[in-house]
Amino acid sequence: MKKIMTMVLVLTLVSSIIPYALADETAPSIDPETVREVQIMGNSTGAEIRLLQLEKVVTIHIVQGENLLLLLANETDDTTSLEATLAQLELVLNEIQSAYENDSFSIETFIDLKTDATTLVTDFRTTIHTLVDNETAKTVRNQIQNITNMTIEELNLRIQSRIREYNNHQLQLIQGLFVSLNESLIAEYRNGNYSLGEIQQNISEAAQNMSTDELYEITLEIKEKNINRAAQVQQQVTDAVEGFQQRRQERLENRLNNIPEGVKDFVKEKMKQSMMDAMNNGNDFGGKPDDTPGGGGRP
Amino acid sequence: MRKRLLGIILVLIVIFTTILAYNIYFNDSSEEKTTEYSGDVSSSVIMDEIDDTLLDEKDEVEIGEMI
Repeated sequence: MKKIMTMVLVLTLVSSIIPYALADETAPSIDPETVREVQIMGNSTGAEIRLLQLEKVVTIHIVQGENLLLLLANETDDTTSLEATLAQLELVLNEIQSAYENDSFSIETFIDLKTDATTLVTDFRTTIHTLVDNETAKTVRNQIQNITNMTIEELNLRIQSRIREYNNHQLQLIQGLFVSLNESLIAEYRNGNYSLGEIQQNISEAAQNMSTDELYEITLEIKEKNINRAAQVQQQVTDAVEGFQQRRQERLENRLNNIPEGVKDFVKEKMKQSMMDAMNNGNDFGGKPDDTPGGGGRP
Repeated sequence: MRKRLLGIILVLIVIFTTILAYNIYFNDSSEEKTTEYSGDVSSSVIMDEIDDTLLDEKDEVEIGEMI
């Protein structure tokens, strides 16, 4: 009888512990940096900003990659893998530009394309470190750091303009709560005559002159809006993670069938092989065991 | 035999209590975070909330380095 009682007790305790042990393991995950980035995508201008920023960072990386291949031409014999990865990154860039042209500014699109870009950049970096020593890597890294071109400069201007538009919209909402906040100051920010820091300073001064009750009321209102926005974004992130692998397979298949004619034959073969491998070895989070959607980009 | 059973039960109770205490502690911490300003609202608290709604002009999307 005592043995049975003990067994029951042990089973009860073990069964109560299992959910805690499994809770975090089964939840879908996404890297914190991407979660932070998509927070502004609930707003159409915010979503547009992130897609433009993704286009910019991928363009910069392609330009850097091309320069790296030139710089390393005498250091290494075989750059086929690097060229193939770079060509795939260009396909991702084309898809980002198409998404932008088609007004497809969803969180799902951003996470998908950012994950693909991050995976390819990681592949490029991993390959290059097998071809050159650390000293050479450090030297060429410094040489490509500040490379820019007209396209990148144009993207910078468009992004800056959209960020001002986004902040202007947010400031209009805040202005509705702060009676003392200067409307003309916001207009000056929109026109580029004031920095965001100056506007924040102005709001801070207005807040210091308010009573505790007023502050409490406004804080609650803004906090509520922020929580609602975060909840909506979180739902979209969860939805994006759920169908991630299926969409990734479709994207890879599409790229496999649409390799541009201008690509050299041996690079084309390497691209095909690389995409086939990714399709066969892919898991829920983008093709590598330690990948999470959007993440894994840091060296 | 009885001593061994009592020992096992005691160990299990300690494990269970530790897990329970751990969960209660972290639940309390997250609750504190959401209500930390409820009693004392300062201009810095409201500025934190406002900063959350604005986007820094130097903010970028990160995809790692090429080398």
